Amino acid sequence: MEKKEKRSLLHTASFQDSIFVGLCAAGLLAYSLYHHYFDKNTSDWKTSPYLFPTLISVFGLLLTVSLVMDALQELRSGEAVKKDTGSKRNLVGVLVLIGASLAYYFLLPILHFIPATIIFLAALFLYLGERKWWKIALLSVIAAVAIYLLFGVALNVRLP
Amino acid sequence: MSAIIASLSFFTDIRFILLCGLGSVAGLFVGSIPGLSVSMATALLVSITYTWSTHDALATVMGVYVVGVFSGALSAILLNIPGAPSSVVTTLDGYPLAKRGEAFKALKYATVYSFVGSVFGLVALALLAQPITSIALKFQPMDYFLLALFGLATVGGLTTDSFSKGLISAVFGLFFAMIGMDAVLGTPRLTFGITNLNAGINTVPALVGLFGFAEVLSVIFDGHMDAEVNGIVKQVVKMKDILKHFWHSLYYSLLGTVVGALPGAGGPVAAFLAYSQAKTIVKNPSRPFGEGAVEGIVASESSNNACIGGALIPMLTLAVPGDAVTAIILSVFYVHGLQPGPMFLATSADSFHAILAGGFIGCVFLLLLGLLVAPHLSKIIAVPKTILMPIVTLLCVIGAYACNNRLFDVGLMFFFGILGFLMRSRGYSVAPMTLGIVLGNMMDSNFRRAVSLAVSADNVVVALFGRPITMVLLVCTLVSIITNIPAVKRAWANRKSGKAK
Repeated sequence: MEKKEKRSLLHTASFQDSIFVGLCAAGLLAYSLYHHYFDKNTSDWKTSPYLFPTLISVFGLLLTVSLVMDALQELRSGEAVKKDTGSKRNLVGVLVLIGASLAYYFLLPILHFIPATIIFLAALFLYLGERKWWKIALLSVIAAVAIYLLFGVALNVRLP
Repeated sequence: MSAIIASLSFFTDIRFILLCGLGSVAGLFVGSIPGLSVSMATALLVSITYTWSTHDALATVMGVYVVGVFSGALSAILLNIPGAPSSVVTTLDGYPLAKRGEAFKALKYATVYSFVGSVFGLVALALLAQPITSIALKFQPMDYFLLALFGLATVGGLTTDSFSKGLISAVFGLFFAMIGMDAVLGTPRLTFGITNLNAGINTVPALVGLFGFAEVLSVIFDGHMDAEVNGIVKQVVKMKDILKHFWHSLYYSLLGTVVGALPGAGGPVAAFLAYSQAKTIVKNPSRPFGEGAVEGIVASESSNNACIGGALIPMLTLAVPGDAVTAIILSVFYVHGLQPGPMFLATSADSFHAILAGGFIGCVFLLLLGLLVAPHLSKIIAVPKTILMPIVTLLCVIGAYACNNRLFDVGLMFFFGILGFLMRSRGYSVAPMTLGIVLGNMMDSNFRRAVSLAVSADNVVVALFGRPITMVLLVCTLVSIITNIPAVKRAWANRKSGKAK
């Protein structure tokens, strides 16, 4: 579902991106200059560890200008603002997966690999639409144990 | 030619063949299931093969690489969803053929010509590696810096619609590569007091995040969790008919090898180029192109598989990867203490032969798996993503943890996954960032070395750019950057349309 609407420079994706990139580049430039001039270990630019980061930040600032020009071009050409009606629901799915992954990250040192993995997989199978509890239980237990045996035992890979 | 003969010794090593076969089977599944990619599988393999011997790791990685690139054609033909970006063109004629009930025929053509393309690319690698190495031996620090910059500029220009976005992705990759202890003075840089960052951003969790976890997030965001799959009815397809296109396929393979050797171009560009050539040179296709012409499959598959050998040429001789997968393979080398570059053939000839042997054995497995196993995979590649995605997330966690046994790396993997997802959703390709992360430290040290050497010379500019190789690389880099600037592109397009009128 695409909808055309009037917009200002601030509403173009390229301009929004240029603000972010510009801030990052300016931050890196300030960081590099500050550390070059105030760190004890650095003396001249030719051996300075901050020479290349400075170069990157200058390049980043040039690209910020390029993005602003892209944004102006977008405005001139009147490109449509893409509005995807389905993306809101899907964004929730993405946030749930990130949340579940972070929970798994913190559970791993507490519960150890197999129990934490079974809980993580079961929660995701359930969220992604599997409704038969026996299938969820079977799949999560088999997957966790199979991965433990394959990687941890057979391939000798250290598991978290 | 001596490299090919030397690589034959691996054909008697049962362990090497079995590991290559294991990688090939993994590549077949990973490449054919939409949502899983060869880049993702290779990134995961880096950590799994961490404790293995170099030859074992190379055998497995080459198996995954060769068969994984081919197997993208399976889902392209059966589902109309390319399993890999390089198989996009195969969908144009493969899927219409499958809809007519000729999926078996399409698969057979794809298998045979993927084999031809892969072998062609690997032979080119064997023949060209030595001459290119001779040139690379004359390179100085500034040449390496410019070569890497040329690679980043080309990747930035080819992988996204906007050149600025491609370069921004590369710049962020370079930024991440700068984090950690400086290689020259040993000063912690951009670590912000986080001790775990002193060793730098490990490439493995970064790549697993950018290609694995980001892919999972994108699949969930897109919401396409199930797919309809075409059935396969076995039919008689004579090898004589298939081989009618052999001579054309050599031309497409040549195109694929050349495109593969250019940093960043890779399989999709090669396939599109070969397809457009096929439309020109094939006067009487079996069916109109786009409606099930086997000639389209021949062009796409032979060229995208030939890219494998092509992409390995700059990676092995110059340490500049041709695409995302070779960037990841480069990190396999670093993990195993190998140093690709001009001295690679002299110091690690056995590893070069192992790569060639792994590639050729992978080609044999490609043929066997493509003809015997692939036709039976239709049910497996339609595995619901509701089951697949949580398991892939789990594999990403294992892959990120395994290289250093640190939970911090798992956190890094999640960070890069979320970053990769956000980048994709805003139209930024992660390929330039990958190259930036892999090449960043090399660029930094060579740039500083070049500047240090130049400032003591009478004329700094001549000392930096005065050598013929440097001048050629500088011109290539500038041309790559200037011709991709949107304003220049628009002016060029306007001039062209003006001439046409």
